Amino acid sequence: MKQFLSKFLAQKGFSLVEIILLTGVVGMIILVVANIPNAINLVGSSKYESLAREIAAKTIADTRAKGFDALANNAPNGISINDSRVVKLPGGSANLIIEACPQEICSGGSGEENMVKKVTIQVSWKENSQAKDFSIVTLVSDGGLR
Amino acid sequence: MKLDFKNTKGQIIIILLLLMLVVLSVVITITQRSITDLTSSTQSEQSSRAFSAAEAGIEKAFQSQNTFQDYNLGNNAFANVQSTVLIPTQPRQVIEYPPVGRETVAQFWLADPRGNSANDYTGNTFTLYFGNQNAASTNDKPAIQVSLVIKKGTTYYTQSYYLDSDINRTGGSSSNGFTPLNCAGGTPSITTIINSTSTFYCRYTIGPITDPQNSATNCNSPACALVLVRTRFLYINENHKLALAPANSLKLPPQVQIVNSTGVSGKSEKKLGVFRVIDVVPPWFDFAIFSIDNIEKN
Repeated sequence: MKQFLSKFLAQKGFSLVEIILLTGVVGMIILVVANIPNAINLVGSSKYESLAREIAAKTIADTRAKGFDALANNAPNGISINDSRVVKLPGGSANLIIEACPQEICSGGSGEENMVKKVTIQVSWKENSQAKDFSIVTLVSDGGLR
Repeated sequence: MKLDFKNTKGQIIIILLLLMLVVLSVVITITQRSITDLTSSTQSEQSSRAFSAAEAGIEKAFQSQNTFQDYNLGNNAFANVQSTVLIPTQPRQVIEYPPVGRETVAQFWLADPRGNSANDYTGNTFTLYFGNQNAASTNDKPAIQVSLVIKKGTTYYTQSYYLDSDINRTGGSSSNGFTPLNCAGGTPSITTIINSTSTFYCRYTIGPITDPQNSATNCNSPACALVLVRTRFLYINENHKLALAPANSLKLPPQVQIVNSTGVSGKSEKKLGVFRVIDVVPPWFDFAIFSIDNIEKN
């Protein structure tokens, strides 16, 4: 071992191949380091988006469970959604907007525009000082899904 | 063992190559994970939107007379809906439920639930098809409790039938008292509203139904009207098939709507199907009609 080390230390300079390989390794390390913050951001972002989706899905299920008669129009501002998970989103807010069924959807006659409501859930939050949002739209009808 | 450290030229290349391999693996893993996260996040978002769009399609179909609809909900999602009008609309059409579980009540209207007496069933027999085709081989032979609601004048009556396809339960000292059915003879097949060919384990015709006040005469509409059939499977472990067929050339009143809705958002597609029976009698009603004795309500 001693012999090996002394021989290694006795070498003068580096070969071209060694320098090229070393440059490659350094380049790879830089790539890894550059990727880490991006990866962390993506994981965090995915977590918030998942949470937003869960809040929206639960709100829709709750809205259906309340029944059609309990849905009063509140567009355009809507009402704030009471879900404890909203505070887990940085700068998070969630709104439930209920409006009459739009003409382009409920144009079939038979008074269906009065029997169907359009429900929009909007969840917003901030990520790295950028505004993010997730919204979902569905319809709720009189005597419909529960 | 004697190690040779004299010829060490080129060793550094191997070390560096190994190091490079490790670093490259880490880079690829991290990059791949980031891309996967991003892709799955986008797909989940589209999937949620597509599901809500599919639900919206179902809701819309419940209120619409159109049997085909394709509309944009905004929000990068649209729904494609295909639904039936209320069926049956034709004579001989057989109502089949999606497979029904134990203790779950399935209901068939014999009088029009929307009050149009022209649609009322005029026969005094009907045939029940029930049980999965493989009920015998899976040793899951169903028994079924049938309650028939009859209206005569302003008075409602119920008649109950207890049918069992397993003769081991109906005979002997521990008999359950049900009517034994021999279903081993064949597996009846029939065209229903949900299957072009549907095969069952058992078939049993109820009737001619007699006048609840005079068993010597048949119950004939309109003076003696059949209103409703409620059925409940017993002794089963799996969900079983169930259908009700009218007597020859007669028509059951319209009562079922079948809706298939596809929500689409981006590359994500969600399909929902709903089998809907209109005006279902509330569950507490069964406490009255599934009683052992007949009930009269004035």
